[in-house]
Amino acid sequence: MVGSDDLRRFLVRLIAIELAIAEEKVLAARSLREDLGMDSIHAANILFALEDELGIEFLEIPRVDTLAGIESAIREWAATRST
Amino acid sequence: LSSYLHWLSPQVDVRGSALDAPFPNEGPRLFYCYRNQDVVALALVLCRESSASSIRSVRVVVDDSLGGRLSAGLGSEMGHDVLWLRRSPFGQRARDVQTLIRTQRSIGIAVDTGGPYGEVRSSLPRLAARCGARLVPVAAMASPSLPIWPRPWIGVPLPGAVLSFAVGEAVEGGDSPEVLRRLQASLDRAVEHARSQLRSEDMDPAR
Repeated sequence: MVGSDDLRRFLVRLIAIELAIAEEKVLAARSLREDLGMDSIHAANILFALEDELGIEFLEIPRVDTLAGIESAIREWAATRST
Repeated sequence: LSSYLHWLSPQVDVRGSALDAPFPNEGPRLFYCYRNQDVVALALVLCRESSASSIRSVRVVVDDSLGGRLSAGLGSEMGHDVLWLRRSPFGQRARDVQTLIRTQRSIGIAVDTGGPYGEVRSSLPRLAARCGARLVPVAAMASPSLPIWPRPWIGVPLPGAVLSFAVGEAVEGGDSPEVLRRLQASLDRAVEHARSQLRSEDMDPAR
């Protein structure tokens, strides 16, 4: 699994691409939905991109509307895989 | 209200190209996309075109809004396949969309959910590109219709209403500004075509 900073940078870039916005806005947002207008199709696109880029399938993300929520879900998924 | 629409559906006079096989069974996967405000009129089109088996291959996706609930109620009564996206939890909703996409079926879905209404959002064209799907804008409106509170942009057709339906040119998926511009232009043309059909019937689309 990539390091903490690398993962965050990767996610910021990925979300910025999927939402077609600047990376700075992703970092500044508290809620991707309320602050950046992410809808459920955007969120599905992000899930598909995570599958493509990291090989993560069927990721459960209870808090997919925050950067930290996505990050922690990926870390939990990675921890499950390594045990 | 969906029961009222079910009762109304055989009485509505449909104008437009709904019968001209715009719902192919074969070929590339299609994402039929439309404005939120057209969703009730489109649900009535689905009812009137229920004899076309190809329409039944389209899975209609609605959200937890008033128009979405009406369409879900009406579509389900008529035996159409309707996926009702739950408002929360949001992660589950995203997973529902992802599961839907994996089914490889053509879908019908609003293109302006979350607003600004009437404007194409980037998420659906991007998803279409990921799936190799083409986007087909559709528009429907009825007159006379009654605005419903608190969503006055959604009109409920009245008895004796004329319903106008139009299909826009297909657009390949993508996320470039050019794709969004072409899709918006195609959707706008379909809306204008539906509106002009109502005008030619001396009906005021009130839009």
